[in-house]
Amino acid sequence: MEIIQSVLYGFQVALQPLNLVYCFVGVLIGTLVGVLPGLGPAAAIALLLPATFKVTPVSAVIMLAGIYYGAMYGGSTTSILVNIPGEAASVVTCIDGYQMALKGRAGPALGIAAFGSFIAGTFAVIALTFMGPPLAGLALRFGPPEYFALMIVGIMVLTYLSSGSMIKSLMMAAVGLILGGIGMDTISGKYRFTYGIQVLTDGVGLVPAVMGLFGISEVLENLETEIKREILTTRVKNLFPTLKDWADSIWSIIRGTFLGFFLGIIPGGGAIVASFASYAIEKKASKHPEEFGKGAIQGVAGPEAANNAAAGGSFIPLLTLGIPANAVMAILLGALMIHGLQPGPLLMKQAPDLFWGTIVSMYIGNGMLLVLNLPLIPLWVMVLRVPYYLLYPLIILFCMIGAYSIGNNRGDVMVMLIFGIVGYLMRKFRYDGAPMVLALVLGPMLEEALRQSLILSHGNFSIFVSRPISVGFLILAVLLLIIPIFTQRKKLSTLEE
Amino acid sequence: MRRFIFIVGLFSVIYALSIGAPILKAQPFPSHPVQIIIPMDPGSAGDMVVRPFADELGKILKIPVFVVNKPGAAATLGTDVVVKSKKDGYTLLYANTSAVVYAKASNPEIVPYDPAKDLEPLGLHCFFPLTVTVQEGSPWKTFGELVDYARKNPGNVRVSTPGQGSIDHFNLEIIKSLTGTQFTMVPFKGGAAAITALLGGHVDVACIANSLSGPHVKAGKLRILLLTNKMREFPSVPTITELGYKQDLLSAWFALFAPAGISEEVKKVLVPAIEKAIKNPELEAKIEKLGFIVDYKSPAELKKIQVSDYETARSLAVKLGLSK
Repeated sequence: MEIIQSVLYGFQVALQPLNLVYCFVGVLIGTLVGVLPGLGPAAAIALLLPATFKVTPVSAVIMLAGIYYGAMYGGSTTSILVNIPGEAASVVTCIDGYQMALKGRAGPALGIAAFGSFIAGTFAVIALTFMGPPLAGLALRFGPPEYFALMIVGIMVLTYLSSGSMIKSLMMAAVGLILGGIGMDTISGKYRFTYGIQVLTDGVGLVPAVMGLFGISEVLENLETEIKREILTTRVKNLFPTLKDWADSIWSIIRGTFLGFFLGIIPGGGAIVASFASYAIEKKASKHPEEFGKGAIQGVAGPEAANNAAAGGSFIPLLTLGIPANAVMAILLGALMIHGLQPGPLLMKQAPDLFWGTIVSMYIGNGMLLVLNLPLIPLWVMVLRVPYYLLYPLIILFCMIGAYSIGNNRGDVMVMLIFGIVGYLMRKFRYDGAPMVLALVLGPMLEEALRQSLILSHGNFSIFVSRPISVGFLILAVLLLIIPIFTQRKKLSTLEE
Repeated sequence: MRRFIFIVGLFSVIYALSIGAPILKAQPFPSHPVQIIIPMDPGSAGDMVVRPFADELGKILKIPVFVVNKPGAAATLGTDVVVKSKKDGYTLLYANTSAVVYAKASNPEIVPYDPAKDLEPLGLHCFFPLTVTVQEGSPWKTFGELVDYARKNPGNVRVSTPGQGSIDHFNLEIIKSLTGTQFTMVPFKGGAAAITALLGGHVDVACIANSLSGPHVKAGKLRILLLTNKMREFPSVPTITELGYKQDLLSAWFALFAPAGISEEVKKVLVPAIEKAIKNPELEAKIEKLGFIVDYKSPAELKKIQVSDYETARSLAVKLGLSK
C-alpha cells in the first residue's frame, strides 16, 4: 500500500542520527517545559525558533513537535506531585492525581499517566497517518453553529464534575461564566468589565488562574496544618502501577484516547476540553463514582490519555490543510513558512520527507518519552520527601516565575496570587474549582459561537437545527440532561423496594 | 562597634561602585544589549518577521538585540510598556498598525498613550498586504462580479474578518461605501479563525492578510479578488485604485519606534542601522517569502503614513459607531 511505503520512507528520514538527536532534544525540552508550571510549549517553541534557522526544516519541525507533545507528558508531573497544573490541560489530573500522591501512590499515578500518554500518543499518530486528510475535512465542517452545539455539550459535562453539593458547583460555574465575560468582546469590539486594568483587557488569563486556584491555594491550605504524607518505601514494585491499576484504567485510557483525538482535531477545541470531558465520562462510567476526587486512578488515566491524544490530533489540520488548531500549531505554521514551506494540502506532495519524517518521529518521540519518564518516577517521588517547609517556597517561586513567563507581564502574577487566595477561601467553604475553570473556558467560546451563528443566519435560530453536526451535538446535550432523571428514578425505585 | 562601621563602610563602597560605574562609563550608544518589544503573540506574523530582523540589526550594531513578546489588548499592552520605558534607546518597539493606529482609533479612552505624541518613528519595515479572498469554487471570478452580486443581494454575502475594529474590518467598510454594497460582516477571533471559516464554507468571503491566504491560493483552494498592495506573485489581482475607485484601501505595516524623547545621538545611530538592516537583501528575501512586501520608509515618511492612516481610521470609527 502506498501509505506503508510512505511510512517506511518516513522511518528512513526520522532514523537519521541527526534527526534522532533533534527528536530527543525536543522531547527533553518539552518534558522540562511541561513540568515547569506556567511556561507552556508555545513560549518554548517560539524561543527556540531562531535556533532552528540554521538547520533543515525537517529537523526543525521534528524538534519543535517533540517539544509540544513532550510538554503534555511533563504537565502531569507537577499536577500529581504538588497539585499545580503545569498547564491548563493538566488541571483535571490534579483532582485525583494529587489525592493519590497524598495516599502515597504518587508512583502509580505518574506511571499510569506516562503509559496512558504513550498509548494515546501512539494511537493519535497512527490515526494521523491513515486517516489524516478525511478527518481534516471533518474539522473544516465545524462552523459557528457546530461550535455552539459542542460548547452546550461541554456545559452539560460540567454538571458531572461536581463531587459535592450540586448547587455549589453550579454557583462556581456561574462565577466562571461571569469571569469569562471579562475582556474584549470579539463581536462588538468593546471591552467589558476591565475597569481600565491592563492585564484584564484580554480576559482573565486561564493559566495564571488555574495555577492560583489549584496550586497556590493548596500551598496556603497546607501551611495551616501539618500534612503527614505517607511516603511508601522506594521498593520498585510500589512505584509502578499494579496489575489491578492497569485493569482499572485500561478502558479509561481507551475512552480518553478517542475523545481527546477527535476533540483535538477541531480547531479551538483541544486538550483542555478533552481532559475535562474525559474526567466526566470516567466518573459516569465508573462503578464507584464516589471515589472520584479521592484518588481514583481512572481520573488520572483518562484525562492524561485525552490530552496527549488531543495534542496528536491537533497536528492533523496543520499538516493536511495548513490550518492551525491551537496557538502552538500556529507557531509551527509560522516556523514552516519561515523555512520556505507552504503548509497546506500540497505539503504532503512538496515535502514528503518533512511530512512523513515528522509523523514517524512522533512515534519515536512517544517511545523516547516513555523511556525518559518512567525511570524518573522514583526521582520525582523523592521530591515529596523534602520537608514541606523547604518545598513550599520553591513551589511558590516556580509558580511566580511560570506565571510571569506567560507574557512577560507582572499582571499575570497578580492574577495568580489573587486566585490563590480565592481558591483557599473556596476550599475552606468547600466549593469546587473545577466547574469554575470549565465555565471560564467554555463561556466565552459559547457566547462568541452563538452570536456569530446568529449573524450568519440573520437572527434566525433555526440555523442550529438545520445543520447535521450541530443537531447531533444538541441532541447529545439533551440526552445528557435527561438520562440522569431516569437513572435516578430507577435507583430510587429499587431503593424503595 | 568597629565591626559595624567596617560592614557599613564595605556596603557603601560596593554601592558607590555599582552606581558609579555606569555613570563614569560614558560609552557610545549602544554599549549593552538592546531589546525590541513586540506586542504580539509568539508565532504571529509580526513575530516571524521581527526575529530575523533583530538578528540582522544585532550584527550591524555589534551588540545582541533580543526580542521580548508582550502580547495583549490588541497590541496596546506591549506598546504602553515601551512608551513608559526609559528613553535611552535600549528599548524599542516593533509595532503593527493595530498598536499605533487602529486600537487608538477604535477605543481612544482605553488606550493609555497617544501614538503620535508618545512614540518616535525610526523606520517602516514592510507592508502586510491584505486581501479579499473567496473559495476557488465560488462563482465570482473578479472583484467586479462579487460587487455586482452583493448589490443585487444585499446582506446575503457573508464576510469574515479577524475582528471588530481590525484593519480588515475598516477596509471592508471602505469597500462598502465605495461600491454601495451591503455585506454581512462576521467577526472572528484572529486571522486563522477567519480563514478557517472561509475554507469550511461557513462564510463566502474573507478579508484577511495575504500571509494567511497565500498558501491556500497556491494550493488551489482559494482565490484572491483584491489586494491592498500590488504583488509580483499575483500579477492579475488588482488593487482598488486600479479598478477605478477613488479612495485607496488601508494597508497594514510593521515599523520600529522608540519612546518619544530619545536623544539625537541615539537616533543618529539607530535610524541608519535600521535602514541598513531592512535593506539587507538576504533578510528581504526571507521576509518576502513569508508574504510581506519590504519597502523601507524613513522616519519622516513613516510619520506621515501613521498620521494619515489614523485620521482615516478615526473618522471611519466614528461613522461606524465603534467609538464616539
